[in-house]
Amino acid sequence: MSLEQSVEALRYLGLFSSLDASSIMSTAVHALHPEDRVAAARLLMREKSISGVPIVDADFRLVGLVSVSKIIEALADGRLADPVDSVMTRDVISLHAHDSFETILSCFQRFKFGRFPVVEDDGRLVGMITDTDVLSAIIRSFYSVYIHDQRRAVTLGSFSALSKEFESSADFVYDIRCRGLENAGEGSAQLKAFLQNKGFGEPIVRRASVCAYEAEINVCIHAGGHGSLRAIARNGEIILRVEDEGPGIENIDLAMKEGWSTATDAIRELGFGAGMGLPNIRRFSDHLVIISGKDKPTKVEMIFLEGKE
Amino acid sequence: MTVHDVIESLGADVAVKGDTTRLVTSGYACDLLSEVIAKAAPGSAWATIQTHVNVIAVAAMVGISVVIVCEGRTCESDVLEHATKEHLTVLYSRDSAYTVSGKLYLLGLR
Repeated sequence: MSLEQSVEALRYLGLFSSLDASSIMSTAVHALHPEDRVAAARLLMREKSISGVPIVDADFRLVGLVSVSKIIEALADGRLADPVDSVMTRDVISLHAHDSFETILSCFQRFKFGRFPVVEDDGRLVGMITDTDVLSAIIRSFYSVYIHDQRRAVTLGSFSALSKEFESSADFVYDIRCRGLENAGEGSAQLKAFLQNKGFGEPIVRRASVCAYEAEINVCIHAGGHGSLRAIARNGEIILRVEDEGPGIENIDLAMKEGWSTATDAIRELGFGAGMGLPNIRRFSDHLVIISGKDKPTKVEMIFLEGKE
Repeated sequence: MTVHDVIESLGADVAVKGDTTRLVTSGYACDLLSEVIAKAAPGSAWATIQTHVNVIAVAAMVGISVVIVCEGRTCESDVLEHATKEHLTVLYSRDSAYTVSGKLYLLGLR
């Protein structure tokens, strides 16, 4: 299938339709002014490992772009001390912040550049999109991502960007300390009340607390009842993280299957261990990442978006 | 109908009298807690043979209006205490969950 056909198929299927340029672009952008020297552009590219530097005016409006090939030409001509204004491309192909995913893909296909600046209506530069940004966005938008070995954890490392926030600024923290199954579910009950207080709507509160409950029960049944339940809840988004100290999930793909469980008969007698915990979590969350392994701690991170019901 | 109406019509014993003016809008019968939490609608009457304290946790999480413990089973006192705290009505019935469900269906719960 050609890229053109793939783009057509994407449009037809409505895949990734929620991704626009502003949600894909990276906003940590380095730009220079026209009067800066070519040498500065070269240094910036080398230090930041980037292949193109956008040039902006005093109001941060995009006026040009200096690519690696322009730098090479300038080097050959001995023009490193000249202003970038004299070597930059002026008719830059840029994307608009609200451009659709298909438009972005078409742009990469038509122009064969490695990167595109993203501008607002007034021409101000707000971000850059590289092919890596597009790939990351596709992976992020998958319904679930399961990571169960170190190699994949490194590959998908950028996803833990969310998680770092938990160290410093979780809105809700509950230490799971469960004896048997007696107070299992206490943390999720508290979380539910917390989310209701914060003014979240009933549907998202229900989805989040159901998932918190399932994850908490898993900690109680499988991980000796020791773990934590934390949440960051703001701007119509709830991020939940449930962690334990092991013994971990040996085969996450199996654990995701409905009806598959390693719970004992005694646990099943009580109506647990039906193998519906993780499948329920997948069903009710908008994004799900599970990191675990044999004899490893398990981390389950779930994202809920208000209005996604 | 309300929890009060369910109590009247089922002729079940009241183990915990919670908020009996709560509306009952639907019914669910199941003993697998994950199923209940995923599928029972808020405002349901829930028929089950489970009797441990997590029944109350699940009921509170879902927003169950009344729990009917079937087959003549009874709960430990800590379970009832927990239900009292949640203002959740718990009934004991000698009937099976099937029969209880049938009775609730005839009452008009769908």
